[in-house]
Amino acid sequence: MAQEIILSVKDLNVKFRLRDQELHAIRNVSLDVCKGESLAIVGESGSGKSVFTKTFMGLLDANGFISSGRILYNGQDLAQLKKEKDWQKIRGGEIAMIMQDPMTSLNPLKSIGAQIAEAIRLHQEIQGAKEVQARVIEYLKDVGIPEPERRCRQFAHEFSGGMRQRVVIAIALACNPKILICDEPTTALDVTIQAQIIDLLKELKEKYHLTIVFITHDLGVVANIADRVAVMYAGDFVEIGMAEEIFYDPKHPYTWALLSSLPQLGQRGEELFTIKGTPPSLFKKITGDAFAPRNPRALRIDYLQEPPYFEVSPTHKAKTWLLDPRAPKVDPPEAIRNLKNLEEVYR
Amino acid sequence: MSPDMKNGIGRPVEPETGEKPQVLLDVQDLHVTFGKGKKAFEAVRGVSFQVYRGETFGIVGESGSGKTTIGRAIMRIHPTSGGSIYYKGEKINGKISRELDRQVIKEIQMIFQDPMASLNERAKVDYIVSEGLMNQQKLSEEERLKRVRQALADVGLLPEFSSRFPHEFSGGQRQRIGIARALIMEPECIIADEPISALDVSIRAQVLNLLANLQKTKNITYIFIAHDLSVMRYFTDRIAVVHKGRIVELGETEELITHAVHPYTRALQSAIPMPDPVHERTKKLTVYDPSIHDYDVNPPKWQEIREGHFVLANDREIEDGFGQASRSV
Repeated sequence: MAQEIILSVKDLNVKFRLRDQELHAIRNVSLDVCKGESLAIVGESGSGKSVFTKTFMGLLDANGFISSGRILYNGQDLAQLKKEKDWQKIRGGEIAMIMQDPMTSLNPLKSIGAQIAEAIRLHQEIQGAKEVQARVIEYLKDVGIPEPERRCRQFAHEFSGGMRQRVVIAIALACNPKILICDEPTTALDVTIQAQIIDLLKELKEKYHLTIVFITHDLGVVANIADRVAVMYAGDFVEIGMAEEIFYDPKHPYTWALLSSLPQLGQRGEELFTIKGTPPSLFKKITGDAFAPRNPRALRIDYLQEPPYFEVSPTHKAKTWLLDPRAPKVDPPEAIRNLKNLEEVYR
Repeated sequence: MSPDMKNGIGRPVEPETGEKPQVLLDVQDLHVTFGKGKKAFEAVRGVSFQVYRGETFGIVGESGSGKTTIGRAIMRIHPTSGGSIYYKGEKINGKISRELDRQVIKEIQMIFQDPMASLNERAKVDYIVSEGLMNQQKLSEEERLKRVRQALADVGLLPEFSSRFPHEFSGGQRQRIGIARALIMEPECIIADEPISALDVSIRAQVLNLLANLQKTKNITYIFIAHDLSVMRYFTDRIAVVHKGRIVELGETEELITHAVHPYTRALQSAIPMPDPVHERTKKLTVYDPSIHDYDVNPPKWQEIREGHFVLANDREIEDGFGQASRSV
């Protein structure tokens, strides 16, 4: 890919101190985010996907720290930033974030318009009250809120869940960011609203030339918005590839498992596929493939030695011994082999 | 489109014996109103449906549509303002006798959406699971513990969990505790109100499998409430689509999904996220706009368009398929 890289993470390790123990949340992860793409990070709860993106904004909890590695953005190493003052130059203006629950990310005591205006004043060169107000209305229009002149005077509790999430997006946009991190932005919403918010994000990405990092546990949601998908398991990316490659030609058994457990693929009367066991404890050192204990078809070497990345195509790599030329041939589960023709089942 | 429906159109799934399905729950013209006078808000506006013994009946709709209110009205949590609910032929809404009240509480149980909020944080699992039993019958301590262990085993939890507190469990395990609490009453019918919405995808599959297995082994009737048609398609036998307190379409699951007529059902259908990037990117999202209905002159009626497939529409809409060439009918 000859695309420009906007953010580059190199050998990042994040640890948390908990009761005299160290939890290794992000284990030696490298990832490049290209300018203008939408990258989806997919994984179960506790896989470290939120922690990973929080490091870009200096938002780790007090007991968490970057133990080694670099996060290069605009020639600057974000992993070295210590002072709040330095972070404030990054937060909002360069990288903005949308959280899962729109109820808790809005201030209940300030009108919607005032909250957007605050972001505009802080991050843009516009200062006059009239100009700011005009921008507020414009942003509300952009995120599809009807009657913005009236709605901007209202408070968060007067909006529905979907509308609130639109307001949160408007605030993020008002910061004029280059990268927009969406941390499960649709999980708390209805399916119909979810689809609308995803359509909106795609639209805004074009209009404002955003780079989107989309975090979710639901691979079904990702297909619509992602150009590229990175699958995270136990603090490490096990497979990275273009959306088509991940959905039509997945290589890692964990990606197979995530895809197979989607209820969309379930046949009435048959059991849904489930992933047995629980994710490994990150307090302990992990040897071999972290997913091996839950993988019914794990190889012997999976328990002994950590697999390297095997390149499937220039854009697609996976961390599994199955791609080693010496490995036995293991086919992905039947249910996910033909995702291309899936919609015919429904339509 | 799937070829011929295995079970025949319009009939709920029958047991192999070929018996006629038995109506377990009959809801007739149900109204639920919140508030009084000028502030009154009618959340459920004349809903009628029947639930057959042993089936899974789905109620789907967006937040605020009244789907949860319907479930809670059946549970006798919300008082009804009109219509009747019959359980095994007996009216259970409004004033009922003490014995019937006890019977209904025992036989209809509920599972809630948020496993974090629905368990008493200060009680041990042992108490949470058996609280309902204590009000029903006098049990010796030994008997009670036996029932708790059995209920925990039924949902795949270890018996030693009974002395722990809810915060020691993961989301999926908590939801299992919620299910055990319903099971211990040996219910005939469980109302599951978005039981998987708050869970991770991989845990969702486990909970759905568990619910399906329990239905098989204990012959429980489910009323499954959700906003997501894709889960509904996998899990239910029949679906009622609720919008603004009214059922707009009702039919057997496969029939309803392959021959959806009402624009709201179609909007729900188009919103199902599919794990297929090429198709998803080109997909045109259908957004339901209630103003397309012209009901001033020609009010909508509840009509059967195919056997067992009902839709709320007026005659003109039925004729022209809601203004667009109907896809497969």
